[in-house]
Amino acid sequence: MAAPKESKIECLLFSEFHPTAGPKIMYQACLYAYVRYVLDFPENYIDKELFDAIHIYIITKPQLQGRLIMSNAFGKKIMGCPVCIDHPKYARNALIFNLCFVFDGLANSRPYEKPVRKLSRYLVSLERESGFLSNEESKQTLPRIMAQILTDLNEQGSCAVEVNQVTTIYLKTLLVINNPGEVHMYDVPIFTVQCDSFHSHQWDLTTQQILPYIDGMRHVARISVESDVAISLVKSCLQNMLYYGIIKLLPIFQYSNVYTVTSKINRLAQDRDLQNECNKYVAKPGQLGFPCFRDIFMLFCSLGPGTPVKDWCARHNPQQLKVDERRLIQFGVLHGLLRRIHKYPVLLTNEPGSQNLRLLSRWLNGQHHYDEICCRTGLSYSVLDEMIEDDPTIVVCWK
Amino acid sequence: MDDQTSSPVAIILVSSGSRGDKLLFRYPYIGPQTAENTVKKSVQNPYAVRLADDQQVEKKRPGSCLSKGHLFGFTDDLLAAILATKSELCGQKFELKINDLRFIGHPTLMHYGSKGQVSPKSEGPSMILFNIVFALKAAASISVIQCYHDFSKRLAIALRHEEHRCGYLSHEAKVMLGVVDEVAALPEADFDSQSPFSLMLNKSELARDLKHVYLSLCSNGDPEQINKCLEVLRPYHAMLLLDDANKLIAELSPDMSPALIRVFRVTTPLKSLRDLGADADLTLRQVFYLVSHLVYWAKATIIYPLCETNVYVLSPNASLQVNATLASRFVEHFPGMSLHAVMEDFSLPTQLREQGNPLGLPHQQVQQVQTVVWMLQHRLLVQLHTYVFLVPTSGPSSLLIKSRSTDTVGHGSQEELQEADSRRISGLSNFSDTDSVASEYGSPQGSFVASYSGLESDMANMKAGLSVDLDEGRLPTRLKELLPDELSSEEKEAILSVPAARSPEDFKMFARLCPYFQGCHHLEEIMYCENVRRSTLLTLLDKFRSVLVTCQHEDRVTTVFHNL
Repeated sequence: MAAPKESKIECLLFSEFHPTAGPKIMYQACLYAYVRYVLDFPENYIDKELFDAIHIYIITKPQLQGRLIMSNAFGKKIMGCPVCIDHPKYARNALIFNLCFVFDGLANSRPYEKPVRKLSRYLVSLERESGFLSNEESKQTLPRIMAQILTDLNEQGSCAVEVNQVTTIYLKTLLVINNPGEVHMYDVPIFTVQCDSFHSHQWDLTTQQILPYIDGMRHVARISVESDVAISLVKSCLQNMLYYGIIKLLPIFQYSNVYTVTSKINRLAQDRDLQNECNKYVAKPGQLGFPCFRDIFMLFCSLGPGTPVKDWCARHNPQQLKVDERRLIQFGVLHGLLRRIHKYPVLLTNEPGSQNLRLLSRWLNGQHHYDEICCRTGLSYSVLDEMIEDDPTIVVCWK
Repeated sequence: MDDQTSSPVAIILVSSGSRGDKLLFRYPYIGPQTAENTVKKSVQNPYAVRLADDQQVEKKRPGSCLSKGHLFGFTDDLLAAILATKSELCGQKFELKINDLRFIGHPTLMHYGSKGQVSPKSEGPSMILFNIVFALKAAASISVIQCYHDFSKRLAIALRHEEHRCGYLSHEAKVMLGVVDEVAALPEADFDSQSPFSLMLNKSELARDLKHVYLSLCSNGDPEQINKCLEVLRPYHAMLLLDDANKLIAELSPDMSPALIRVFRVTTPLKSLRDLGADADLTLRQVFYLVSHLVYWAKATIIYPLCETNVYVLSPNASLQVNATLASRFVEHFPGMSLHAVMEDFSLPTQLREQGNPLGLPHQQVQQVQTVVWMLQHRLLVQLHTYVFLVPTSGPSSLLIKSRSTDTVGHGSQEELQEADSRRISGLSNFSDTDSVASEYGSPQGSFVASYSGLESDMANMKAGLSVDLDEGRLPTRLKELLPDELSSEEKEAILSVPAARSPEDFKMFARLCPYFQGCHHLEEIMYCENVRRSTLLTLLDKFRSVLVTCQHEDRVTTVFHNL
């Protein structure tokens, strides 16, 4: 995957603390009009004035060494990981250097954070193992290496540059995606892509083991039991798949659930493609003909607080309208057209009345909904509900 | 959207001058005993065998620069060294990212254009440049970073101005450095007990102001989202202050504009922004400025004016935690009531009117309204509105599908609003009362209204023909023309075949309101724009229910503030 245009590396800069001259730029490998790659003498791309103003962020104080430092000044972003190797063999007993990536001031540099750190570690090992940087001859090969890294990362998003007979530098830019959020034991994973569109054999063994159990109906705890995989591993695998966007999480489907329509319902009214997709998805299998849009739309709009699915079914009879209600709800939640309303029991006094409630009391602080409580205690919805409803000191809030 | 990433981690003031680079103030500061949290070499086990390789081990540094949300591992001197930049970097944005921490500031030269010249008004050691830096979490979004930079720049301009006027900054710097020297001169035992910064708060006004800035900036929300909301601000919205009006007046700077004070005095959550403007003697545009201001600084939020028919429900983000401070604060305001019991009541959508017991005493009614106001201020409730969709036939409605590309009715004066937005001032300085914008906020319908303006005469002419045609069982084509063009003829037929369509009054109103039946305008909006009573509207909707679908959900505009 090539780097997006707006965040290409403009220049690679190798700078070190010269024993007599102090911080100076040793080599630069620059990008010139995205076509030619030029090895320049230090004065050209990053000029002396800029370097003098910001060299303290490149060749840094000891407390900042080993950290990823990015400074943004004069319209350029310079990101590097300053290194200090202590050893008596060096003049001044230490070798201090930094190989930085330079970007335009507005570019997105996050995909390069890991490669920069990794590159600095490579250089450290190269130096320790074979004196790569302290040996003048091998040091001269650095500009060529830098130029190649620059070219390959910009064009392909990854590079494999041979440094010497035993070492190759492998780097890859990372597409940064936002954290997907936690996976709970009561969540239900569902694929958002076709199962056969990704190569399952490329995934790790644990993920492969749980794949067959992901059907949009089984929740995490059940998947763990049926696939015989520890629940923490199941959660990790699912989190990984969530990160790459191939699954989404839904709440458990039960006929006692309550859902409400969201402001995104407009999308269904306005988007023909979404309508077609919905139509195909929610159609009751085995029926001739598809349900009509108006019925589907009306069914969505009639979901709201206070209306459990079973009441809604009784009122509108989706089956007769050729609609599979489970799939309708699934579609709605997946596309953000519906939102689940959870039931939270809250115990207001400190002394639970009945014996049963003493066992439950830790779940009654208003932070756990029925789905979670049922999952963790093993009680069924109806049993839990009876216990809660019977007790006058518990209030029930829906949100 | 994570509120936490937009809150600052710390605010730091550094300077560079004849005494070198100095950290003048930071907040929050760490006590002297924890200042030693900077990296120490790991304690060497004297019995461990030292292998030759170990000599070359790279110095390990802790990965994170943050500990429990505060700066970790940075001594005052280190911060001074990295944040007091060279003069070449002055006058532009300064950004430095170290692992998971981001510093943003705008280093400023003390004296315009010159480097190192001493101003006659300055006292003590001369300062060449200073930098007000915000430390943020690295994950903060670009718009948040922009805002902080902007803010740092404004603070710097203000400080430099004050310096030139009366040597303010040099004086404050002298006080701050004086405190540091004082504390350093204390005997060992005393030194450990107090951080110089806490002493500074007593002596230096600037230190107190910076602390105040930091505290006010915590958890304000993403400015990008707020800007988006402001674009859809409407005159029928209302402003809800998040705190008592008098407290806010006292809190805000003394040279507040008289216009803003008037607004504070007359605002209530029942009053629309348009009425607010009238009562405070301001144009609508001026009101929008001020409201957007207050919203930006999290002193107010935007709601729909409170009235009996409003429907509220518990917000999905409301915290239900028992024993939380929120619950006890509620009891302080409303003794004898339980927050959770009220939240239980609002689990089902509840009209404000229903809340009041008709047999109850008047003060109970008032208390009910106050409860709702309190809960709205604390983001525990959201309002539900009814939206209408025109779906005449069983297939998807052409009116709705076409509407997507042209954007919806109701954003007609968006240009006006955007212009107002771009001129929004962020300082609470004098607001120009002489702003001579004559344009009143016009009807949002734009072209749709124009096409129906000749309706009266048309209908009068048609009446005779109408009864004749209906008797003959044929539908007159002119009636069809009243309906929006986007509808297919099949859809128009469907509408016309509704029994209520036979009444010209009803049909005329229906046709006029059709543009609002795209699911983007709730009933209150329709009532406001078309000057229609609720009862009339509801009756009409009921009569044409066979071609309409209604649903209830929250208003997209106000949900920005609820993170929904």
